[in-house]
Amino acid sequence: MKSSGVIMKTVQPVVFAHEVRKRFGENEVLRGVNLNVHASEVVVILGSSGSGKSTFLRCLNQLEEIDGGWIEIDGDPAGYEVVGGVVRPLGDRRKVLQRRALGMVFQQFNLFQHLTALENVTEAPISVRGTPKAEARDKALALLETVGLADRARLYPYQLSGGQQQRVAIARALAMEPKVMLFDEPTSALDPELVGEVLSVMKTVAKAGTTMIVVTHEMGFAQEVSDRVEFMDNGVIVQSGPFNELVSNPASAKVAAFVRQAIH
Amino acid sequence: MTAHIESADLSAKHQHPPSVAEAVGYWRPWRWLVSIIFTLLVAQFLVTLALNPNMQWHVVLDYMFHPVVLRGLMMTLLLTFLAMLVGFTLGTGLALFRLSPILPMQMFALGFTWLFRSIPTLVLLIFLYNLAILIPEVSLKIPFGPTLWSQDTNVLVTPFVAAIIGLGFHKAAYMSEIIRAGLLSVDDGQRQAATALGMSSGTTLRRIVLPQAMRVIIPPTGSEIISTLKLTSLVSVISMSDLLYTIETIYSRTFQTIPLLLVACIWYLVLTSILQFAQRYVERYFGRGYRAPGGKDNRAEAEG
Repeated sequence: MKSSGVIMKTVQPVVFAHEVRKRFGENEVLRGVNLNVHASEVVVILGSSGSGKSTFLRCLNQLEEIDGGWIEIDGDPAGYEVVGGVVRPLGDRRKVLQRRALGMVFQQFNLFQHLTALENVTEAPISVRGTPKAEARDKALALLETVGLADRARLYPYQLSGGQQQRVAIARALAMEPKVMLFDEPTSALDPELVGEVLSVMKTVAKAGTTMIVVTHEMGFAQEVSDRVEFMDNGVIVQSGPFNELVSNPASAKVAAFVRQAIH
Repeated sequence: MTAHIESADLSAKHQHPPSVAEAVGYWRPWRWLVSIIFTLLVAQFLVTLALNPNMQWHVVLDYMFHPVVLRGLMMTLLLTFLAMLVGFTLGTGLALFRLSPILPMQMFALGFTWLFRSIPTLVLLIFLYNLAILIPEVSLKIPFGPTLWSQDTNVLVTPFVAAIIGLGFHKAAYMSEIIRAGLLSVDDGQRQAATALGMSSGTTLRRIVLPQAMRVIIPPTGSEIISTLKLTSLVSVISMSDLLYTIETIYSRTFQTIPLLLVACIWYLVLTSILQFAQRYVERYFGRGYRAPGGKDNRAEAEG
């Protein structure tokens, strides 16, 4: 387990979320979520389904618009700016630029079906950042090597197993050199025997010092890799701290029940 | 628990059973009979037709590659190409309008599609041909404001332009529905992944959504091209010298109606056959990244 040093608390967090609110119609999914993540921290968000974990991740990279609160990524207010004391929404162009700071890995992989594994990784660097093709290709091959799929570079997504597809998706997100990697239940859609290979790639990414926020049900990963665990229930974070503390000293009966069920 | 049975325990019959691989063919007399009768009937029909002296095959041969006919053929091809170009471009625009969050744009696309799908193409062509009677002058102006540019309609809307507009708008109305279906067929996760990677909506459409939508768009578009090719024959009513009009001009002079119509038929057959053949290759190209029906790999070489 990495230590989230006390010194870090004094510097600006990479992810700053304050009282974030989100509603879908009548249903209030996020009811004031607070979260600070510092550079190189690995934070795992736990909670039963429907607690708002995935929605929160999607709010961080503005796939969903928030209804209240404030989000800053590396000091840059997400989707809004303050001009002369007035909060104004940003135009689409600025939002598009802001999303590049965050890499996202989806539950359903969402690899581009018409592109090979290699092309999936090179697509955004080439079409978004204007990286020269040869350079993007070399970097993509190196990333595919990292996730153990260099020999599968020319295959299309349908020719890969679920675990392989998710590993390509991780390489694809890393190719944009994001400041934070968001993982939205990355192993939930996988057959049990394929979960391990994805988790081990995620461990490698974490060890390389990547700042990560991971929504998952994999307690082993939370215990072994995370610096901190956030437990979300009904749209708010009810407990925050090291994994072992969550197990040994659950804040509520709900947390205790979740932990008991997840471990056994 | 079942004990292991040695082959020696089996009866003599099961020691060396036969294999179905050695089976003889099954005799289906009715199938043979029907095949023979049917083939004979079709052959008889074709031979009678071919040997009919009124076909005047030598005349057909004379005009098949006649420069005037070939010029008409080129016009037919040009009209098909331009009508499809207008249809596809405008159709894509209309499809995007339909999916836009801006209501007036949605309504415009809906109205355009409704209008040009409802008016018969022939009526539309004649109408455009006579447009000058309705609108003598075409001008470009700011809505309810000053005129920037104007031109006599008859100079602007020549029969050629009328044909392109008539066929093109008609096709655009159909193509917009096909393209819209294609865009909707792409899983939303693809858009989300592109957005999360920092792609703008334009880049997402161009690089991610459209290439995947093409797989759904191409097959019906192939049929549309073939139908456009045949539809161009309507322009003969506004005296555009396409293949059919050229043929009509010749036989009204020589009275060799049947052989000349045969020339037209053969050319239409040749062109549509080529198009159908070409369609298969285009489909294969845009089908990359997808398992072909029946589980066959579209790109077996990718396995390398």
